[in-house]
Amino acid sequence: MKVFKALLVLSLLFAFLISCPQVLADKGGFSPSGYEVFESGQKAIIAWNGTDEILILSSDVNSSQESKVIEFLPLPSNPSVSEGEKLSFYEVEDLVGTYLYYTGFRPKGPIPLAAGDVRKMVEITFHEKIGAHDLTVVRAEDAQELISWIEDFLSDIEIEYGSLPSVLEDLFSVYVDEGINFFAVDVIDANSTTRSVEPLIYEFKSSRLYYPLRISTLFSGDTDISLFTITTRELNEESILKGGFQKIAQFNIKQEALGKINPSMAIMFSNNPCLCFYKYEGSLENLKDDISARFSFFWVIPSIAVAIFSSGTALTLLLLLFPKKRMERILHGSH
Amino acid sequence: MEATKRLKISSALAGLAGIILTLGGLFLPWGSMISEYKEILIPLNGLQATYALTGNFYVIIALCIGILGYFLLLTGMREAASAILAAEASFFILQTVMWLMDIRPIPFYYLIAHTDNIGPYATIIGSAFIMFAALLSLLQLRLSS
Repeated sequence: MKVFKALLVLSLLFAFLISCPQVLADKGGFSPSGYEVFESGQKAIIAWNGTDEILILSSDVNSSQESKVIEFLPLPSNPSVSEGEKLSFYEVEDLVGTYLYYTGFRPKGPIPLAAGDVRKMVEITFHEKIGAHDLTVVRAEDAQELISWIEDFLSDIEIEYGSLPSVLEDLFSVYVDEGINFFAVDVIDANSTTRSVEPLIYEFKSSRLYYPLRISTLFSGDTDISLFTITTRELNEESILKGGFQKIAQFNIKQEALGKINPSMAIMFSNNPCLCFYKYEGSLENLKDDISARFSFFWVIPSIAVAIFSSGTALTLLLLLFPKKRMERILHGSH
Repeated sequence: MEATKRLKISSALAGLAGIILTLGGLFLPWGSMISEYKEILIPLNGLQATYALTGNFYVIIALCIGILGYFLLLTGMREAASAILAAEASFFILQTVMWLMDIRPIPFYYLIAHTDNIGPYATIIGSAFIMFAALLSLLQLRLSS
């Protein structure tokens, strides 16, 4: 009977261990003239190796009237920003398309992507004109101070504005309270024609994969988001899936493929990283939380389960085959 | 507890653990293969890896031998069943070691990228338990006869 109990406990332990199984960027913005601004699509490639993140971000923005659009991107640490290439998205799209074709989920061909001065509390850490972007990165410790800085900033670059969106201060407060102190402020031109804004590459330190979505609620309407994550190993997807994203594909890619997506990514990984493709279609209003993901622990569970189960069985067998008296004789010598 | 009874229980326990681990090994990841695109690595589980190692014909033969072994066990021919299951387990261990050592003499259908994963180890340990169970069963039969 004891043996059956031991077997039952071992089986339950094994079943429990087998059954047991978090990255940080999307922009939000407004038109200083008070026109409605829509973001019909976003595309992002996020590469994260546990300490560093490279984010290649492109969005499709249009406005009800021709006007300047001020976009914000909250980040957990000071980024270095450079110009990206649309080629990165074509490469990663090609990889996902080939994987889906290979696994029989879709016919071969391209996958349909989304329509693509120092103050006390606010400090400018970066400013550069990059292609269509006039980008400034600021470090802010207080939301109210950041709002004041934006008002001064708009006056300095001679942009006439009515009033800032009412939710802006609340959003900034949430980010600052969560320790997200860096904000990339991008000035672009938008008109009634939807166009993909040239991608930018943000490189920053991060202990989690981070992609800000909540800031998107500054825009109006519906959106399609195509999110590609490239990580050392599998992610804990909870924060991605609960936001309404659907996982379309997951597979490993060879290191050689990284160089084609972005040369900086090739030196981030020492293994063949895991590429995931997620898609979101819906209202921007539903994006209540940012994506903040860490590595999944699921990959170690089978190893631990097999190790515990095997050693448990071996120990039980040892006890069964060598009864207490014989064990004592072996351990203490025969008398 | 008398020796024959202990051997019988040990054999049953080792056999059960062996079956759980070997079946687990069929669904756990064994590694990945390179697609024709060369840059995409498709994950392989134990079933796919075993097929890659031995091909359809050998998988069916291995399955038949396993079923025969358990059939003999059910009909009370424990000595023959133990010998067949021990041989089958040895075959699995040999195949898995060949996979881990990247030795594939049998017709091979996939281009394997890497093979370092938990699946092969679960299969080796599971097969070792099955082999051990078969040997204990033989020993118990000898002692009781």
